[in-house]
Amino acid sequence: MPEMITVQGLTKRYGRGLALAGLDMHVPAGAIYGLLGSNGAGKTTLLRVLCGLQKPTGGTYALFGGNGTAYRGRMGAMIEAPALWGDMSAAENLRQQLLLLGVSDEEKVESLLKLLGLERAGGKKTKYFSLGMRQRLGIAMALAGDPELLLLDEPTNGLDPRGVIFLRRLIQRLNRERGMTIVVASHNLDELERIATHYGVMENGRMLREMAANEIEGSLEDCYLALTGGDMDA
Amino acid sequence: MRRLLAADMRRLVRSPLALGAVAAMVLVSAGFVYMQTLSAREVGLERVILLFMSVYGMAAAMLLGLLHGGEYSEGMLRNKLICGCSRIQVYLSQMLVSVVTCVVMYLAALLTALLLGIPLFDLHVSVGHEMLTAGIGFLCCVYYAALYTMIPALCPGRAVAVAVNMAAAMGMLMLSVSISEILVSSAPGGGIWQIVLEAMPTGQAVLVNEAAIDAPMRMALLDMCGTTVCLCVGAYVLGSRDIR
Repeated sequence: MPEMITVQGLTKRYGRGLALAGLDMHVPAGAIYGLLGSNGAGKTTLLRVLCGLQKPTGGTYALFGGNGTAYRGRMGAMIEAPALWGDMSAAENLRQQLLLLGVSDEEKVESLLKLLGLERAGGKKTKYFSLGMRQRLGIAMALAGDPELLLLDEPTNGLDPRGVIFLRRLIQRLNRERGMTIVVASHNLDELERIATHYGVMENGRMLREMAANEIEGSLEDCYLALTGGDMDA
Repeated sequence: MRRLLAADMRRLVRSPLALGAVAAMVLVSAGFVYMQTLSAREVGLERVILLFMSVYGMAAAMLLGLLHGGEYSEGMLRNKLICGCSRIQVYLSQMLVSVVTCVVMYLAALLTALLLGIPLFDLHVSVGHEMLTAGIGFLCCVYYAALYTMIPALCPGRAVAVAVNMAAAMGMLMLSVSISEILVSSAPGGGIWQIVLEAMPTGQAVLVNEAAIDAPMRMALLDMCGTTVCLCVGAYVLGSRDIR
């Protein structure tokens, strides 16, 4: 199966601290890849490096099977908090994003708002949005360029239960209908178990194990605990 | 690059900050002209039309700190890089936005002063000399744009960018006024102090404000050198920093 993301020996150092310590990762094309790890495991750092926001200290990575930076316009990402222009409405933010991508299509703005359930946001400026609405708009911005690869960092943060269900179904639909490869970094084992076709478990800047969903015997929770160690009996 | 510039310019024309800054410079310029009409001293038009340069640097520092500092702390820079823009393109676009902003502020203030000042004051120097002074003022604005675009690239976010920009503006202004007083007092080493004064955009603003341009070619050259240095440093810093 061709790989959408190939990472080999990736290292990222901040001063004396090592956020990524020789990490390897292989994301098959067309997968929904659940990236698991505890706080400080390096998930967000990894996604930042893949987006070109930070340069690795060592190692290599390739997107779309080619040069690490040549295909940047074919991906979308929402890393940590969504980046929104607070004094603009949702529609204006999307128009601005589409302009960056070289697209001028009002219908696309409307369809993205509708896709993420924001059609009623109206002229409200995003600085007055709830966390859940900001999260939805952030995802809409990430989808604006019809990406082939989507990176999402904790996308369910701030979403209510309906929002979580909505996002889960959206991810599945994008993967099924558009063949989009989606990497979801999350703490939420239950949510990932419902949608992911592949998993990567990180700890201390390293990939402990990568596996397909059908390779897991038992539950994801048991597998995670077995890999990361620790007795969780209360 | 074209679409990045289109997006940034679109953002600029819709920015209440930018529009407010232009309006503020118009009011400041009008205010300075009005104050000169109340002065008992007879002043020439050449001393009136560029008086706004005394506060221009502070206005540019605050505005560009807010405009560009926010990009670093609020994630807009992330959007641009993820969309496929290179860091050098992002920085050049920021620089162009800054230049357009500063030039528009300058021209708005200058035109206001001319419109209000011409009927009220006489020009005591040649039109050519005054145009030269205004031209140096224009280059000084470009220098300001480069400097206050570079500083946010060195800062972690909006608040720090504004604070450092303002501190730099005030510090340079105070230094420029002090050097100007040294020069007036004809203290030794005047030639060196003159060059130091002209090397700072605030120093040039002081000289433009006082209509005391003695070496326009040297000032223009220092403007271009300063602009180039700031552009190179800023592009290098943005090219190598980690973006959160």
